[in-house]
This record gives sequence, C-alpha cells and structure tokens, in this order.
Amino acid sequence: MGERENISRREALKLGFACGAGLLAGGFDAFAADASPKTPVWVIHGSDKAALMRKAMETMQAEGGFGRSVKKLALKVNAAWARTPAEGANTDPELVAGFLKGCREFGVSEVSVPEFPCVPAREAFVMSGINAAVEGAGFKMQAIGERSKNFAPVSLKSARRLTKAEVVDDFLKADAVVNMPVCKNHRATGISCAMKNWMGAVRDRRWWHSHDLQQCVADFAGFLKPTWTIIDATRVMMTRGPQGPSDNMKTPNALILSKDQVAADAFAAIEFFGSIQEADYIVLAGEMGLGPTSLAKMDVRRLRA
Amino acid sequence: MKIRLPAGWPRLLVKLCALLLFLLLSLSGTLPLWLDSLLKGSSDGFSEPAQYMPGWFKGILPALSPFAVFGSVLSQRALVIGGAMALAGIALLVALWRGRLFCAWLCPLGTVAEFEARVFKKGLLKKQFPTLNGMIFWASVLGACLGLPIFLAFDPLSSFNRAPLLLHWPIALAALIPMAFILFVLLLGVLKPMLWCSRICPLGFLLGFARRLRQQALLLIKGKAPERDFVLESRRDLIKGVCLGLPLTVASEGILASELVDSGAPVLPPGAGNAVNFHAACTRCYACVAACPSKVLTVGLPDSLNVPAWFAPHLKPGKVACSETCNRCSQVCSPGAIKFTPLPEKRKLQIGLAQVDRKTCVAWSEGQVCMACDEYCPYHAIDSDTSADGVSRPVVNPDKCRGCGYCMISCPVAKPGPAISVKGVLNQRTLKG
Repeated sequence: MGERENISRREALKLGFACGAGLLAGGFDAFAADASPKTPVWVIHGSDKAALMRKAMETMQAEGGFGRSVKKLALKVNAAWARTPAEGANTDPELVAGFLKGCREFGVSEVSVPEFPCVPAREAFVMSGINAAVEGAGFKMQAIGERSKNFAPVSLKSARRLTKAEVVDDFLKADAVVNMPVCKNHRATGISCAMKNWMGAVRDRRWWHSHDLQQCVADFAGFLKPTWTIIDATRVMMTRGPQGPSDNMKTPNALILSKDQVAADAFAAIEFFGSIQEADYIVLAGEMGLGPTSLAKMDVRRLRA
Repeated sequence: MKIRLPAGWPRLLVKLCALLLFLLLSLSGTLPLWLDSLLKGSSDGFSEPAQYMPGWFKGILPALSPFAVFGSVLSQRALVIGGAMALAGIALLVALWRGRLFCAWLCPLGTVAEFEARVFKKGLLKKQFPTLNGMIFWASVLGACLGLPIFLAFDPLSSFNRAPLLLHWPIALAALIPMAFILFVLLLGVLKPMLWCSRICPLGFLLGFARRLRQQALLLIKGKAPERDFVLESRRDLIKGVCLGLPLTVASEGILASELVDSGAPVLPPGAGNAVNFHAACTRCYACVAACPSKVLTVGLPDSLNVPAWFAPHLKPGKVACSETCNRCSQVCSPGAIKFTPLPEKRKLQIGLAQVDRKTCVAWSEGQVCMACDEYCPYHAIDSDTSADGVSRPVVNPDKCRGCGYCMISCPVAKPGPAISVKGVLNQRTLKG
C-alpha cells in the first residue's frame, strides 16, 4: 500500500515538474497548443505538376480521403479570368486534371465543377485551359451567372456582416467539397487564395464589395468549410492581381494542402507575402476563431514530389 | 400527267436558290447560341458556337450593292479598297452591259417581292405610282457626298442582311425598326405588284442607269446625239434628287454640329474611328451586332435629331462588356465602317473612357474597401488614390482606359446605376501601353 502511495506521489511530482518545465520552456502558447493539437498543413514542392497532384492525392488518401462513401464531390476551382495558365490568374489546368483523375481513382463518380467567372465563361473557361482539363477527365464545367437557377439561399449564423447569401447548391448538396484556388495578389483584398475563392460560388458578390468586403470573405469562410483545400502555388502573381498579367511572378512550384482553409490561407500569406496582415480577411477569420493563423498553431509538413 | 411549271421557271429556280444562299450567307459568322445547341444536340451554355462558315461571308451580300458600297465610300470621304469594293465594282461592270440582270436573277428582296406578286396579282392602288428611284438615288449620292447617309435607308441588300438578327437573343429592339424594311417592301407590293423594285429601289435604278449610260456613251462616240428622252429624264431625276437631298442634308448637318457639342459621343465598335465617319459609312446591315458574342454591341432608338446616327450600332456596356480577346465586329463589317483591327491592335484601342462618379462610388463616398473596378479592369487603367485613413479610391487613367466597360459590370453600386461608367471618345485612338 505504502509503496504504491509512494509511487503515485512520485508520479504526481513528476507530472508537476514536467508541466512547470513545459510552461517555463514554451510559455503559455505551448501549453495551449498541447491542449488543442496543431493543424496540419502540407506543403508539397516540385516542378512536375502531375507529380505534385499525385503526391497531394496520396497525402489526402492517407488522411482519410474525402470521407466515407463519397460519391458526389463539388470542386471549386478559380477559372474567373480570360488568362492563360502561365499568367497565374486561374487554377492551373494540369493540377485540375490531376485532381479529377485522382477522384476517379478514389471512386468518386460524380464531380461538379461550378464556377461564376468574372468575364464570360466562354472566354475564362477556355483560355484558362480548365474546361479542356475537366472535359478530358470526363466531367463537365458549369457556368454560373447571376441569373443561374441553382442558387440556394442560406443564412450565415456566425457571421458579423454577411448574414445571408445565395450559394451554388452543388456545394451544399455534395458529399464532399474541395476548394482548389490559385494563390495570387489581389488589389482589393491584398491576397486571393482559398477563402476569397468562394466569391465565385455566390450570386451577389457585388454586395460584398460595398459592405465590408474583407469581413464578408471571412464570414463566408465560417459558413462553407471544404473537406480539403488545395492551393495552387506553382506560380504566384505578386502584383497586379487578381487578373494580371503581372511582370512580378514568383514560381514557388508548390501546393499547399490542408483540411483547414484558414490555416491554408494564413500559411500561403506568410510563405509568399510575408504576413497575414497583407489580407485583412485572414486576420478577421483568425479573430473569429475560424482557424489558426499563426505558424505556431500549424503543423507544417514539407514534402517533395 | 404533265406537271405544268410556271412561266420562266429556270429563272425562278435560280432566284430561289440565290435567296437560300443569301440567307445562309447572312447567317454566317456566329449562330445564335440556341440555334447552335440545337444543331449540335447539346450545349453547356458557354462553349463557343461552331463556325460553320467564315464570318466575313456575312459581308458578301451587302458588298454586292454598288449603291451601298460606293455610297459608303463617298460618305466616308476615304477610299477603302477591299473585297467589298471589288465585288461592288464587278456588280457595276456587269450592269454596264446587262442592266438589271441582278434584280431579275439574284436579288433576294426581289425574289420575295416577286413571289408576293404571284399571290397578289392585282394591286390595291388603281392609279399610277410615280417613279421615285432616280430621285432617291441622286438624293442619296448628294447626301453621301455631304456626309448624310440617306442611302442607308434604301439599300435592299443591307436590309435583307439584317433579317437573321431576329434570331439572336437578346434582340436589339431598336433594330427591329430598320428590319421592318422588308415588311415595308412587302406592303408596297400589296399596293402594286413589285412596286418597290420598279419604282423605288435606288440600287435597281443604278444598275439600269449604268447600262443606259453606256448605250448613250456609245452613241456619243459614234458621233450621234444621245436619246432626248434619256437626257430629259436624267436631268429631271438629278434636279429632283438635289431638291430632296440638299435641304435634308443641310438641315441635318446643322443639327449634327450642335448635337456633337451637346451630347457625349457614343461608344463605337473598335475600329469605327469617329462617329461622323462611322455613321456615314455604316450600312446598318447589323452583321456586327449579330456577330458580337457578348451582345454589348447593340442598336438604340434615336435619342437626338442627329439623323446620321440613327439606328447605328453602338456599345452599351453595363451588364456585359467588350472583351479583350474579341474583334469579331471588325471581321464582319463589309463596307469597312469598322476597320479590321487585329487583336493586338484592338487591345490598345481606346473606344471610350470610364468616369468615376465620386458621389456614388462606395470608396469615395463611404470609405469602403472596394476597388472592384480595378479588379475587373483588364488593362490596369484604374489607379488608386489613398485616403487619409488608408482606403483606396479609384481614379481612371485616361492613357490606359480602353472603354471596354468591365468596370461597369463589377461596380457594386446598383442605384442609380454603376458609379463608374463609360462614355465614348470623339476619336478612337491607339494607346501606348
């Protein structure tokens, strides 16, 4: 009995010691991080886009794929502008092709690719090369416009500003949603990445512009949370976004992969633009508790493809 | 049993074939999306319609009218050498020997009128109808020389070319008025069979006149006096034409001069140059309106007394804009009113200039972070003026703005309309960068 008491006392002491040491060493942050595990963010480097996407698909599969018995998937690409893939205004078509091929291998039979482009779809979808990529994989793109019929009204509970929106219903009905934006400079919001990409899935995005755009972007991110976010950072427009063409291009040759779109955006902002302050909506999303915005709260895993 | 064919059936057969051919030609270029998807059996709503025929085919029919082509050349006061001139020249040469051969065998409007005449054998009008074609012809020539495009209202081939615009959606409503021309011809036919062709059509007059002129010239060469009837008749026509054309032209030119100062210039299709030339040269065949994929090119109701501008195509940005990657209108314009502008040149061409209304712009008036216009501008023509509290406010750079109208699409201000809007420029110019 006594012996046992002794042991437990010793254990208790040990624990206390460990905690104290931990607090001393890492400060309060480390303690908090211990309490909630860090959000994993994968960064896949490589110049071969097909290989990049394969690696991303492998990583996703190892992390549970899109979820169980997913048949219908909705993919949000960025195909908003009449720009060529090299100009980096839209998601790279090779990556889209690779993703859709991977979907087939995962057993996802139905992928819808709705997009509300900023210029006529016949220009944006074709020049971006994404329509060819989607058709090549045996799926169809869906051109959304203000008068499209498949918008569903939703109310955003946690929103500060954007309390109501009309969303393309594919994103609400699908078993899984994947957001595949391109990372680029954006003159209105600073940076355009994952959260900002949802503006191509709502009807009245113009309203956002006149009602605190940054807050609206953050609000919507609190509503629509994709299963996976895959950020195309193979080339990044550093100025003259979102449309370009820009004479200041970075070629990080990377994909950023995460289940948390706020973490993905924050990481991309820090990695390519220096800080999350470059885009207020990331800061706002962090304040609203939608996801981690500091590297300390992320578990960044770098892979090579 | 022997089938009885109508008299002159080979000619009728040729006419019918020509009618179908010209209908097909006038349909070329871009088919309306709905028709295209019907032909293909499916549509995603955004793929480009298949090009069954090159777009410039649409320019063939109006180019066969020397009346319209040379009228357009006269009123542009510039010699536009091109396919249209060649075709019109050939048509005129043929007429020197064969007169109104074209009317009898090929003219699609003539065919329509002739078939109508077979139904309404007797006209409602009992009295003689005066012959007006010579007067209209000379008034048109005079008008064209002075820059008033009277000929526009009377060219049968350009008019016929307008018909397929009916298939396009959304229909440019104002275009229906010039399109009603065909109806007007049919209506005249009810008064008297083929009244249009025999008494009014100035193209028919020109073709017939060309032949008679050659005959008289031959007489002169042989040292004989020309026929007295012809001389008298021609002189009468000429005097009547001047009497009709001169006051019309002078009046409208006077109004035109004052109008241009008052109202802003319209936004013209890229390659149109300036309003005066364009309005004079355009035959209103609406090939450009039909070809415009975004339908930003449209036809408006007359909004001023500036007669030469009536029913001319112009751009109406707002819901749609003029795409950076398109120059279709300049590909299909056969009289060259819209000069062919290759894409790299078109990208640099300023057709209008955007203006920000600082009273309604949310950045200027409310301090909102917007800059949507900047985001949508394909040419980076929106500069930013930063306010004291760090909000970017749009300022249009006149050396970069092309006037495409994408800023208007993007503007979140719904009432009283976009806070940024495009006005036409007096002269389209090529920008440096």
